[in-house]
Amino acid sequence: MKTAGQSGRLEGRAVPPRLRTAARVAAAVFGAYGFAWGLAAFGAELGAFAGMAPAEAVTASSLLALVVLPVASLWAFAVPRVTVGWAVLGGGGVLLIAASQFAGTVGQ
Amino acid sequence: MPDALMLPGLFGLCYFAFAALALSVERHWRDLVESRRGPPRRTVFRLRLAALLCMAAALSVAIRHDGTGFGILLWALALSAGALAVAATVTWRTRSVRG
Amino acid sequence: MTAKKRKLISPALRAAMLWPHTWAGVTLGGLLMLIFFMGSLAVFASEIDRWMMPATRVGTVEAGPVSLDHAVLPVVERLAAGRAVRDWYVQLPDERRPVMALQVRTETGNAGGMATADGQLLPPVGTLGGTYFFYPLHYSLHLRAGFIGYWIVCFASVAMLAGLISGVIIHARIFKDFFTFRSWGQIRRSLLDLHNLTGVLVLPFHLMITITGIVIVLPIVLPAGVQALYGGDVRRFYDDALGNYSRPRSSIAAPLAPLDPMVAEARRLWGGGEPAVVFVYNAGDAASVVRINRALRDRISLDVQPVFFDGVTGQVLKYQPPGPVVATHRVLSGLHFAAFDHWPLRWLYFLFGMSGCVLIGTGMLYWMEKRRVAHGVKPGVGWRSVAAIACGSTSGLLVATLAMMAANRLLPAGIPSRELVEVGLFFLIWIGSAVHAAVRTRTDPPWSEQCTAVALLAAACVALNWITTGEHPIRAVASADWAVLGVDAVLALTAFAAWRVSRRLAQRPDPELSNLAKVTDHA
Repeated sequence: MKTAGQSGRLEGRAVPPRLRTAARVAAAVFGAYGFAWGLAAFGAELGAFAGMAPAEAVTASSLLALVVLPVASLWAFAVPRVTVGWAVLGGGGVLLIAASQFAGTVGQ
Repeated sequence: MPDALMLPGLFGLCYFAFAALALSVERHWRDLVESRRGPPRRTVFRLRLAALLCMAAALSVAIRHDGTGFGILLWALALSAGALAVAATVTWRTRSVRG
Repeated sequence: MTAKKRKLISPALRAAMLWPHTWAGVTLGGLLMLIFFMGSLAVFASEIDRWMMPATRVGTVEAGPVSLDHAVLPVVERLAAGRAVRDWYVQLPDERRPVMALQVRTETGNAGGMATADGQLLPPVGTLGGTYFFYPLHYSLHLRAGFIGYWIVCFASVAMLAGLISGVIIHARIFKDFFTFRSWGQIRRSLLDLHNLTGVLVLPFHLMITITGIVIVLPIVLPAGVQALYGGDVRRFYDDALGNYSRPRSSIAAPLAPLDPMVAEARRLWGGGEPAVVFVYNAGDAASVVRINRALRDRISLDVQPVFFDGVTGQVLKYQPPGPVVATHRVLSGLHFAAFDHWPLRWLYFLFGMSGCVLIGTGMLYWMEKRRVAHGVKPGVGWRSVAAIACGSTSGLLVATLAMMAANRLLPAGIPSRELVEVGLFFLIWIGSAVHAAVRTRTDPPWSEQCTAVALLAAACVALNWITTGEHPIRAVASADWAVLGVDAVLALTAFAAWRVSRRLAQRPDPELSNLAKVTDHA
């Protein structure tokens, strides 16, 4: 069974490799996209704060998020422990989205 | 520089640049030049320097003819075309050497 | 050599990247092949249109701009056929499309057509051609509902990016093997060499074309920024970013001001340049708006610099140059679109797009050969499915494309919905090739048979063009019809190459398991 370079011991429980692979793929597809989404949203708010025209800020942050996206997807496969991958990508995405919502309300 | 000469000149420079780089790789030197030993260090340096100069000249030709934007784009793509042509040449020559 | 070289890329990273690279390639290879192939055709969509719409082969455009008021408006009236017009637009003739293309939206339906530069309406062309079939198939798979096609294509494109990056990481000796193509010996090694070659040597193009493709539709597939700053109102975002303008109808009738002075004013605002597309919104209304786009022939950027005029008074309503970031976005988009008039570049785009097809195809073939060892000489259903899909999405796709072009020449002009018949034939024959591949795959997909079909169809297309339009290559050269000559030349080359490949493959012996197990990929 082909699994990516995993030294994963997951808290002593034996997780079947297929589940681990599925978790990695999910992290690469959904986690990375969520992270990119958060980056684009928060980046746009930051840009607006910094005085950029809104269309400019949106474009800049979206372009940056697009460059990050495939790298984040691959990182989900490179990271030794899947849970770390989900924490950073999924958790990071949620954090960024929350931060952008907060920045949006503050900026009003 | 007349229009008709620019393109062949550009591709020619890119081709020679990658041809020089190809010869500086030990395997191709052994296949195509002499099989007893790899290229000497001085030759490798000179070949790679020649390649760099050819690439720079190609960039200058492209920009002089087409302006900055189109020039850089054309140069970048012409490099790939030159590299592919050199790979094809190396394959063809190596086949005939190996028999 | 006593000191151990510190590797830039650790073996663990290399191993970790192998699985996603392999499986992204195996699952999405067919779709990516479609995208790259149709994209390559789209570079010459206008030329394919000339080939598939012989009525539009009217030669080069005469000197002098097209008069909108004298040449275009009468055609709009004719297309409207008495119905009240809501909006309409005209794509003015240029070097690659010497006729104008119009779309008229009336209260009871749409009407479209093409006309010569002096205003003569041409009979219906009866085909979607390259511009309205191959090209939209490339970027949206013709799935328009909810932009689902864009999402699928962009998902595959991000996977392609990941595949390119992971491929570079996996490649063991990227500089030593830079020019290596061992076309002799084991097929598996040759396939991997060719895969690496097309991947590495054309890497700048592949990265550029893939990322810029997604960039074009970025606000649609990554709308987070628009959500954050525009509350999800994409239209308002585009109004801000691209300088668009729109207003609703006022239901008060008013005549349209002369259009030609507006074109002159637009040229003055642009500081030179030609108009490419003219839109009239809310035609015949007091709130009518005229939009004029600039031609993109002389620049990389996709910024059409739209100028919006009041349709009744002729005053400029909006002309807003983009900010620096949006301008960059337009340049990135323009890099993908290749709307510029630069023939060496266009041919390089076409060639490298096809090299992308080779990259994807050799990857799939390499996987098939590698797995063949594991599955034994009589492979199981899994391998056979992937093999059939690989065949259907490469030679099968080519068969379908050529069959559609042949049908374009063969179908009578008068049949109703002729363009849909052509499209139906395309998909029918594509499915047929896939079924043929699935049924005939035992130890190998039926490459030789499908390549023979490709060769015969491509040759038939050239012959049919000659027979049905009387335009053979020598006549094309004589009348400087480079578009048709180019398409015929590529068709002829395809026929020749496919014939050679099919003969070569027919002579290949069946793979023997004992030989396969011995091969090493990096000898």
